[in-house]
Amino acid sequence: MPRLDAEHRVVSGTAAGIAREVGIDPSYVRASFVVLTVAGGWGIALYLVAWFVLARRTQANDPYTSIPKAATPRVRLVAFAMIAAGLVVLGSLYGLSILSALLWPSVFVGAAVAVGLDRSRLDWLRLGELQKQAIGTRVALGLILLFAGVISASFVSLSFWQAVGGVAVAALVLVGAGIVFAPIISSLGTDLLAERRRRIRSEERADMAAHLHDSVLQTLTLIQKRSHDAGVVSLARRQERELRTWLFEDQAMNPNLGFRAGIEAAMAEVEELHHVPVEVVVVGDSPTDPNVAALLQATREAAANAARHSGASRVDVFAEIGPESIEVFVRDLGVGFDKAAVDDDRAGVRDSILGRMQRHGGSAFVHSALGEGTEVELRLPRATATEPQQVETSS
Amino acid sequence: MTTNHTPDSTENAATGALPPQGIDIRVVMVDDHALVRAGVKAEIGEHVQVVGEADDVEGAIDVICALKPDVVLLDVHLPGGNGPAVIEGVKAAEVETCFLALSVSDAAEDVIAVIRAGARGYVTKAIEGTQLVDAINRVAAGDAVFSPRLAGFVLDAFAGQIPVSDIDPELDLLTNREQEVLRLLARGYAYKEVASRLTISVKTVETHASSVLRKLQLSNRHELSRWAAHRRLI
Repeated sequence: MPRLDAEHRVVSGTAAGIAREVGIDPSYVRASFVVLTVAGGWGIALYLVAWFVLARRTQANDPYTSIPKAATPRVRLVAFAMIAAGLVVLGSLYGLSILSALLWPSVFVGAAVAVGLDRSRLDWLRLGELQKQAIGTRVALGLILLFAGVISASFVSLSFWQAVGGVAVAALVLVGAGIVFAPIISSLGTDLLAERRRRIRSEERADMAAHLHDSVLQTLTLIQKRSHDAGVVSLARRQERELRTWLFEDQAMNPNLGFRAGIEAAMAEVEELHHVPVEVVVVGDSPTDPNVAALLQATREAAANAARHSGASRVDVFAEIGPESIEVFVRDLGVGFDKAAVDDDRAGVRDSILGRMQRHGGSAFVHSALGEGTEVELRLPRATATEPQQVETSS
Repeated sequence: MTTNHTPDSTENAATGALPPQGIDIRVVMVDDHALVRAGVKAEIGEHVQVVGEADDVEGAIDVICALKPDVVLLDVHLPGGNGPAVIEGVKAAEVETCFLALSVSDAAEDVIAVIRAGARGYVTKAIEGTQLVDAINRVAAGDAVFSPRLAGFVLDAFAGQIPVSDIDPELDLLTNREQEVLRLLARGYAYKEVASRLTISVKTVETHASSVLRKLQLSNRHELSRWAAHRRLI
C-alpha cells in the first residue's frame, strides 16, 4: 500500500511515496507531474488527488515499512491513467485533436470506473461499515475524474461524429457515476434505516424490560423453587435465562464477545444439558483469543463433568480476570472421586481439561476426595503464548 | 487485618445470648408480588415468624416502624422508590432492624446500592429455603451474608475497576485476607469451609465479611456510582 514518504519528500512526499511503491526513482514521478502540469494543468490535479489518497493511508497505518513487491492493482491503474493522460497531452500539443477528443473523456471515465471497481465487485457492492472510511476517498476521486471527463468532453468542437462521440461519452460518464455512487447512496439509506430501527427497538425493549423484569422473572424463579419436576425446573430456568439475555441484550451483545459473555453462555448450555443449576460469578472481563477460548472449553468440560458425575445439586463457577492471569474455579459438593482409583480411565479429564490448558500455556489442578466434592482450578496467564506450565493433580 | 472492629455482631453470635434465634426471629417481608411473598413465606414459615408484609416503599416503612421486626427481607425493586428508599426511611425513623436483600435482579448497580444503603447481605430468590433461613439467622445475629454473586460484585467494585481510595485510603482498600475470603465465597464456599481452607476461625471469617461490608458502605459514593455508570447497568 503506497503512503506518503516523509523521509524523501520534496513537498509532501507524494511523489516519493508513489515511486517507492512502484519501485522507480522519485525523479521520474516528479518529472511526470511537472510535465503534466506544464502540458495543461492536470499534473496539479493528479498530484492533489494522489496526496489526498496517500495522506489518508498514512494516518490509518503508521509507520510505513518498505516491503518490495509488485505494484498493487490500484497503483497500476493510477500509473496507466497517468501514462494515458501524458500521451493525450503530448498528442494535443502536436495537434492530434481527434485522438484527444476520444481519449480524454475515456481516460477519465475509465479511471472513475476503475476507482469504483478496484476491489472485487462483490465487496464494493456490499459496502459495509468497515469500508466507510474509504467512501470519502472514493467520492472525491470519482467526482474529480467525472468532472474532468465532462469538462474535457465539452471542450471538443462539435462535428456530427463528434456529437455522437459526445453522447457516447455522456453515457459512459453516467454509467461510471452510477457504478461509483449507487452503492454508497443505497448503503447510506440502508444504514440510516437500520439505525432508526435499532433505536426504536432499544426504546421498546427498555419499556418492556421494566415491565417484564419483575413480573415474569419473579414467576419463573418461583416455578423453579416450587416445582419438584426437574424437567419443569430446567425449562423455567432456561426461559429465565433467555428472557434475561434478551432484556439485557445491549450489554450482552458486545460485538467482541468477551470472556464474561462466553462463560455465561457456556454454563447456560451445561445447565440445560444436564439439568443441574450452574451458578456463575465473574469478576472483570477480557476479550477472547485462542487461549481464552481454550480456557472456556476447559471450563465447560469441567462444569459438564461436575454436573454429570458429581450428583451435586448445583455447580459453582467463579472466574476472575486479573491483570496477569485468568483464574477459573469449578466446584461441586458432590461425591468426588479417588484419583488413584480412576486415574487411568479419566482420559476425558486428562485430555480435555489438563492437556488443553497445558497446550495453551495454562495450568490445571483437580482437587477431589471421595465424599467431599471436586474443585477444578484453571489458570491462564494473560500474556500471549508463554511456556507451558506444569500440570498436576492433587487430592 | 482488621479484627478489632466487631460492633455488636460476632460476640453475640458466639455466646448466643442477645440476638433471637430460629423461631423467635420476627421477619417482615417486603415484596410487591403477593405470589412471591406467599412462596417465600411457605418456605421459611416453619423456622421463623413472618409477622408482617408490605408491597411498596411507604407501606414497608410503616409496617417496619410499627412491628420493629428483627429482620426485613427486602426486595431490591419496589414501586415507589426501590429497596434503598425503605432502608433510608426506616433509618430516618430511628428504628433498629436488619435488612437482607432478596431479589431476582442481576444488575450489580442495584445490588451494590441496597448494600450501601445498609443491607447486611444479598441473596437471590433462587436460594433454597434452608439456606434462606440460615441467612436470616445470620443477619439477625448481626453478621453479613455474602452469596457468591454478591462476593463477585464486591470484588468487581474493589478490583480496580474504579479508584476507590480517594476519600479514605485505609478504609477503601480491601486487605489481602479480605480478598481471599471474598474469592472463596465467590467460589461457593460456605463460611465454615472458608475458615478451614484459610485455617482461621469461622468467627474471623465473619469479621472479615462484616468489615468488607462496612468498607463498602463507607467508601466514596461518587466513585462507586461512577463505576456503576461506567458499566452502564440498568
